[in-house]
Amino acid sequence: MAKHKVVSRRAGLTVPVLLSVAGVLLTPVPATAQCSNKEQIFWADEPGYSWRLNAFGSMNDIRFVKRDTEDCSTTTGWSTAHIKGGGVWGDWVEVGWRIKTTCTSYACADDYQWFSEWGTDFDSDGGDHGQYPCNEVEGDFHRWRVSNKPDTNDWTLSVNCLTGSGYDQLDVATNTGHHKGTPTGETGRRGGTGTGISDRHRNLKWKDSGEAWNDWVDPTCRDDNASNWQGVRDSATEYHTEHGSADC
Amino acid sequence: MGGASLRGAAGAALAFGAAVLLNVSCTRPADQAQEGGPVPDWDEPLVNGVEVSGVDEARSSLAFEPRLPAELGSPARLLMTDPDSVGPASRVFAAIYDHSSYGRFWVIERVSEMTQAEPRSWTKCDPAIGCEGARTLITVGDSIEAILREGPNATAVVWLVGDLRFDVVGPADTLAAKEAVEVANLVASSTPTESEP
Repeated sequence: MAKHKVVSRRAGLTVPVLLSVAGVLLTPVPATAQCSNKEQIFWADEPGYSWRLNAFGSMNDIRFVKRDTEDCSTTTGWSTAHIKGGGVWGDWVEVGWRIKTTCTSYACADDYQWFSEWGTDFDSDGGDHGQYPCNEVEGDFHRWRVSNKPDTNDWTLSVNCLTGSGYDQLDVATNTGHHKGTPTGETGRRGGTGTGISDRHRNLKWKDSGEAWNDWVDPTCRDDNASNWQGVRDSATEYHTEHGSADC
Repeated sequence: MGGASLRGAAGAALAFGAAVLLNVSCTRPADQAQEGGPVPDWDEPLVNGVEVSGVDEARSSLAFEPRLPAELGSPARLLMTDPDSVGPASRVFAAIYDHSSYGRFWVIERVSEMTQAEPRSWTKCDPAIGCEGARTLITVGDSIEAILREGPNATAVVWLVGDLRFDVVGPADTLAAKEAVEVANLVASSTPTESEP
C-alpha cells in the first residue's frame, strides 16, 4: 500500500479495456461499496454524564496529516470542528478539512481542501470548499472555529493557521435552525479498512452564551462506526485516533 | 487502498496510452455532496436521549405538551433529552415508529429556536452552494405552513406551531414524500389531549 498517495494507478470500467489492450496485471478493483462506506468517529464535550447541549461555538486545533486513501472519486477523508444543533443528531454545522480524491482514466490524486457544511434532518442545506488555507505541513495544527452570530441562527466558519495572522472567515452558515448545540470533533473517511483515519484534536474549547471560550471538561467518544480505528482520550482538551477495534 | 494497482512502469505507459487513445472514462460512484454530516442511525434521534415509558412521563419533564396521533398506533420507542443534561425548554421529545404502512420514521417535537421565515428560506435549495435534494413549501393540518425536505438521506416535513417545532423524519429509501406528508398531517391535526399512546 502506498503511503500518502498523491497519484496512484486505478481501475474501473477501464480495467477490461486496458487488460485487453495492454495485457498488464492489475490488482483487484476496489469494491464500489467501499467507496460509499462512510465511517466516522465523533467526540463531544461531556461535562457530566451526557454531552453538552448549550454551546454557541466549537474551537478545535486539528493536526494536518496525510492519510492513505482509496481509489475512489469522492471525499475520502475529513476532520472538522462541529456543532450538533439543538440536541438532535440530524442537525449540524461544521468546518474543517477534507481529502478530495479525483480519479481520471489512469490515475487518482488527493487534494486537501477546507470545507464547510450545514444541514437539517441529515441532509445538507449548504456548504462550500476551497484550497487548503494553511501550509500543508504534516504535524502542524490549525485552529478551526464554528461560532454562532449572536441573536441569530447563523454561524461564522473560520480558520486560524496559527502563524500570527489571526482568523480567516471561510463561510457563514445561515438559517440553520439553531443557535446552540453540542461542541463536537469529527473525523471520517470513505474507502474501507485499508485506508487511514488518523486524526488529533487539541485545545478544545466551547463558546458560552456570553461569548466566552471555555475549555472542554471531558472529551467523550460516543459515535464510532469506523472499523479497525478507535478514539483515544489524551486529556480534558485533547483526543486522537489510532488503530484498534474498540467502539470508542 | 492507496497503493499502486497497476504493476510496472511499462504497463503504466501502455495503460496511459490506451486510455488516451480510447478516451475511456473510469466511472466511479457519483460524488457525494455530503462530506462530514452525520450518518443517520435510525435508532437514535437524540444526542442525549433517554427512554421514557409513555407520554405522561415525558410530559412532566418537558416545557410543552407532546402530541402523538392515535391513528399512528403505538410508537416502538419514546425518547426525550436526558433531564440531567439541560433545562426543560431545551429538552426534545422523540417518538420512533415502526409503522405497518410507513415503516420506520420519527416524530420529533421541541421548543423551536427559529421563526417561520427560517424554514421558508430552505426552499431556496441551491445545489451550487451545497444544498442536497429538494425543499417544497406545503401545508399540513389546518393550513399550517410546512417544508417538505427530500434529500439523499432523509425525507422530512418540518413545521412550527407557536413556539414549537415539529419534524417528521424517515429514511429516504423507505419513507416517500407522500407518506411523510400523510404522517405530518396526522401529527399536525392532533391535539395534546389525545396524545397518550
